[in-house]
Amino acid sequence: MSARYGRLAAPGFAALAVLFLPYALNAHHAVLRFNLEEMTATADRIFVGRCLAVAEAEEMIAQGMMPVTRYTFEVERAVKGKLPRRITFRQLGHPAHRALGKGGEMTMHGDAVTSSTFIHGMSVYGVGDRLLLFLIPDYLGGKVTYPVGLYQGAFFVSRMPSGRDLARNSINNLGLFTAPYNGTAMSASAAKSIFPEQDNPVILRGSLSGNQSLASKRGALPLDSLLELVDQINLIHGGERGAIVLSGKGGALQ
Amino acid sequence: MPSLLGLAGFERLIRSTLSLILIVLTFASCGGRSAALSKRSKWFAGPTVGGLDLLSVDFIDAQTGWAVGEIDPGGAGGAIYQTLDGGRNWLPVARSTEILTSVHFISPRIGWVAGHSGRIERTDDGGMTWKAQRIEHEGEVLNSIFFVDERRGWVVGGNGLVFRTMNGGEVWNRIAIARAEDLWSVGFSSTGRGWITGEDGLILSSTDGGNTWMAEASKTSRALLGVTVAPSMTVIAVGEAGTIFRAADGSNWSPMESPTTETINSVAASGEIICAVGSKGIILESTDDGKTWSSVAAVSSRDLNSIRLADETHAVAVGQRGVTQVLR
Repeated sequence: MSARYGRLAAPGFAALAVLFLPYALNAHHAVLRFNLEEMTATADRIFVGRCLAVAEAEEMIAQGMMPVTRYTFEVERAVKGKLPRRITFRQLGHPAHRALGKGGEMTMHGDAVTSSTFIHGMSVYGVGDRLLLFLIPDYLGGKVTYPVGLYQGAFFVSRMPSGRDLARNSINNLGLFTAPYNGTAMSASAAKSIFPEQDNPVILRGSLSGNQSLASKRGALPLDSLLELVDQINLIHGGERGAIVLSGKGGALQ
Repeated sequence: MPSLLGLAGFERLIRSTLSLILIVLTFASCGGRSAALSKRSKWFAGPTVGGLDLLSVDFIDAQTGWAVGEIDPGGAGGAIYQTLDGGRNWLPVARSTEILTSVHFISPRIGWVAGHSGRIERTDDGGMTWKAQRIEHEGEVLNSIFFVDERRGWVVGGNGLVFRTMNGGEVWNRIAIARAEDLWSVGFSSTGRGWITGEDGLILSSTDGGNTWMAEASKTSRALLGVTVAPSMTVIAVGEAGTIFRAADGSNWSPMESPTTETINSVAASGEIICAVGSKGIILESTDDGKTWSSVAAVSSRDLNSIRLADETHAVAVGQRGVTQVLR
């Protein structure tokens, strides 16, 4: 399979490499860091949903057969973009179980994994997982997408025994309010909500004034408050409020 | 003398003299205590170390310590820093490709770090070289690591993760605790008795070396981010919104009056001193086994994420963008 993919999938993976792999070769988390404002501005679809199905496939993308994983989500709340109730989108690569080492662990930083099918840092979801996802616009001919900043734009939602829903990405929400603008989607001069260089990174006036406690919270964030803030950031940047529609283009397969 | 002053006058003289002695003794006592405190503890701004957020610090004596934290997302990674002069100077002694959230040493040579992606590494040469014990467990966020000796250790993390080793970290076994909360801090007073604090006011305790954990009533929904066991065996837990809890017997928790509403990220104890640090550079101190707390003038407005006391007169706190503060 490796040889096959090595021959056929090269063009597509080369495209992704241009985006991320220079940062990912030696370090799992050596990917451009996005703060919440830049993440919100970069995504064209932001929603909370539950994963209904996962299917691995090989598809013709960018003139080559490429490994993809199709994820289907039931959308419960759309924060940005007009989304169908059930959205299916594709991410490049296959989940990590294809790349497990002999001890059952994933091997080191993509050096020993089956790099032809597994993309280090690409988020993986299981059936039943509930997430807040920030998806970038479909690329490679509108065929595939991924969360902003790979693992950064995928927030797993956990319900506490107290009933509170908390959201956390795989780097424990580090940098959501403190990461500098990396210039991929926004420059610091375009910042309207989050000011990483200040000790109080969320603007203190207007409708965001109640979010200082959110910005200083460590780790998982209360889902409701996080969604409210993302909604405000989206509107401040001129975005439309998200909506669930009866039909429409929600994902690469729609 | 009685004949000159009379008995009543003599009594008045004695009373006034005793009162004067009492007043002098009282002032001497307070003055002595104040002098001891001021002599004991003064916080100074330390050097900025690296510029990235430092998330954890540990000291094995008044001079020798280590700090770990964030990585440079531009690809340069992060560093494990060491000081050999009580925090006046820090040098990177090893590189890290992963975010490290916790460091713990049990001797000048033997220590561990834990971090994201389930990473745990051990050093046997004071931090110069590290051997990976767990790597690449996607999505696992480890927040705190603690060892009582060379063999027995525990690490806790997000979504109720608890691991235990009985052989110095060669094998880490998952302990199922059936909790969904993020676990922030772990500490033990002996090989058998330990505590974990976490999200939503969670406090867990174990009396069998961490094999089983029981939830204890904390009466708060605030995240408890740090826990420490004082030499008196009193256990202190701290967290969001200035929350401070104290359990003199390790199991009956009471909220303490807090001088701050800021988040308290870390707490440490040595001798009769307990110190805590948190958001916006707050530093809190207790000299009565955690019963009362007072604020110490902040040296910096940067968040402080971790504190460790080497002894009653030496401590180091680290935090946002490499800020360090030294008690000496």
